[in-house]
This record gives sequence, structure tokens and C-alpha cells, in this order.
Amino acid sequence: MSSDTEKDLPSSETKANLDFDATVAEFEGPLLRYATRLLNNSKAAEDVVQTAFIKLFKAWHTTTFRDAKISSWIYRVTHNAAIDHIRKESRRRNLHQRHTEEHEVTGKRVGGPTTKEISDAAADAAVLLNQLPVRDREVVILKIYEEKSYREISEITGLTESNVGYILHHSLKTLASGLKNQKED
Amino acid sequence: MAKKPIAKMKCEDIQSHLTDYLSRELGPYLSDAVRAHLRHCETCQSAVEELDSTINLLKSSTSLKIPARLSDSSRRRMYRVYKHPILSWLDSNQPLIYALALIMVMTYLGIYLIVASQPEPYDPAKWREVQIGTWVGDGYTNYVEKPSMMEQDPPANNVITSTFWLILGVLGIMTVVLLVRWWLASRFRSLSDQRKDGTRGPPDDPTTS
Repeated sequence: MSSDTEKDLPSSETKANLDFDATVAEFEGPLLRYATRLLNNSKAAEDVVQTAFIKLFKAWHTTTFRDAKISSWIYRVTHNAAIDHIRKESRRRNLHQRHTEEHEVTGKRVGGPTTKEISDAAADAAVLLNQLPVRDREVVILKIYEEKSYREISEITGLTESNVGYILHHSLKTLASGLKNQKED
Repeated sequence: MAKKPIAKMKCEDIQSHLTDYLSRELGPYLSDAVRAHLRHCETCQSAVEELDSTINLLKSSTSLKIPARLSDSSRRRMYRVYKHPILSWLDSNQPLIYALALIMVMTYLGIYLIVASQPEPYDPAKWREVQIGTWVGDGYTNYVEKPSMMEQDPPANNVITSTFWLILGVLGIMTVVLLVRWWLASRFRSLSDQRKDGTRGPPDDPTTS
């Protein structure tokens, strides 16, 4: 091989960096979609996805990723960051709620769509989805919107595959009955 | 687990598998069982339709504004960590850095004060022997000598000198910190410049020109 050809070839480091760039480009959209749906807040979702990519970069040169595993890994990191964010938000909201109760101010929740604002059935479904517990909501989002298999959801969330199926089934039944009740009202 | 014969599966059994069936997560045996049951059971047909319409409603929901890409500011922050990990670490740990700088200054001050409070080492040039005695009588004949004493020249006023060295020390520490920071920044900048030639270094930040 000639020296010129050798020079044209990217070094392993550059190749790794280019791969990292390609990974960011590939996953930023799906991860933003997943995190925004889970957190119901696009700004917070951006922070969470950014944190996930920073963690990916830190692990990039030390961990050997097989293509199939990057997806689950990055989703899992996003999932953990989102759960951390939800816990922090919940603590902050509890404090805020306590504060507002002291001042006799009524207010049900901060941010997110309400049924009064959105009237169509699809939006009602989204509102009902947001009322599910985080774990159930996340399984529904990963299955319905991200179209992940039970195995992938299991790798991301740490639940067993049978548990994923059970949670998904009961969450969908809850949503269906909620929509039915709203229709009747 | 022993497989239940298809004919013996009740609506309850079938309905517990409907989500898996719609998600295509059932094995061929159970899929066939559900399909066969749905052909003749109206209750289960309405249950599967309900689930299916819920899934479709969720999919068609567009109430959330989902960004397609990370914003420029997020991207910039991310690539800063990517390209300048040490600077980024310094930025994100500013309280720690300030605490370390304060400890350094306090240590320097402490060492300085300990050293300054020590007696000066013996320097023959600064010391002279003096005789202390008393003249008695007519003042010329009887001289009673007392033990000799060492006397040092009165110390110079060192306040200005001490302050000068103290300020110089603090400035020195600050200069070293700034120089290290500047060196790190220039080093990472040169690495990213090399990257433009396609040789090596971290990838370019697409948000900066």
C-alpha cells in the first residue's frame, strides 16, 4: 500500500469520532421523541438527551459497543436520566405544592396539556397516558411510539420480558377504559 | 409450561394475550390460537378493537411539540464536553476549584506566617559584642565589668517587604492557574484544527464556524 493511500485513510481515532458523530445523528431524533413523551417537556428532554450523549462519549473509547447494543445502551442511559429528572421534578413540585397549600392557592399540576385545552380523542389519550405511573408510561411509549420489542424494552428498563407484556397490557386496558368513560361523559 | 389446547382456551385466556398478539410478540402457536378464537368470539373481537383503537389514538396524538434535533445551545454544550473535557470539568466544578484555590492561598499564607515567625539565623555580620559595665569612683580607675552581651542591629521595618512577597505569591498562584487553563485551551484548539485536515483529533463542532 502506498504512503499516500495510508495518509488518506482515517486513523482509528478519527474513525471512532466519525462513528460517534454518526451515532449522535442517528439517535438524537428518536431519543428526543422518547424523552419528550416521557417527560412531557421538550426543554427537559433536551437536557436529558444531552446528558445521555455526554455519557456515551465518556464510554465511547473505553467500552466496546456492538451495533445492536448501542441502541439499548443509549436508551437505557436516557431512561435513567429521565427518571432522575422526574424524581427531582417531583421533589421540587412537592415543595412547590406545600408552598402553594400554605398560601391557599389551588392548582393541580405544573405544565403539560389538560383536557380543557385539548378536546379531541387522541389528545385525551395523550392526557390519560401522562396520568399513568412513570414505569407504565415508559413501557407504553417504548412499545407504541418507539416500536421496541419486549426484549429491547426489557434491556432498557431492566424489567423482565413477561413483566413488560403484563404492564403494557394493563396500561392499554386502563387507557381504553379511561377513553371509554370520557366518551360516555 | 404445558401448552393449553386451543379448543380449551377461554375468553379470559385469550384477552390476556391480546396486547402481545397486537404487538406481534406471541409465538406461532398462541398467535394461531388467538386468531382462531377471534374468528368466532364477538366479545374478544370488541376487546381487540378497543385495544387497537387506543393504540391508534395514542399514535395519532400530536399534542406535543417534539424537537427533531438538539438545539444549538445543547449541541454546543455537548460538544464542549466532547472537545474540551478538562475545561468542561473545570467549568462544571467551579466551587471545587475555588475551594482548592482558597486552600492553596491559605496554605501559602500559613507557611509564610510560620516561616516569618521563626528567629533569624545567626549572621555574624549583623551581630556585635558589646561590653556593658559601670564606672565607679572617679570614673577613670574602677570599671566593673558585667558579662558581655550580644546585641543585634535593630531589625529593619519588614512590613512593606512582607506584604510585597505575600501579594507576589498570590499573584504567582493565580498566574500559574491561568497559564495552565490557557495552555489546555490552546492545546485542545490545536487538536481540533488538526481535525479539519482530516488527520486526527475530536470531530468538529457543527454549531461553530
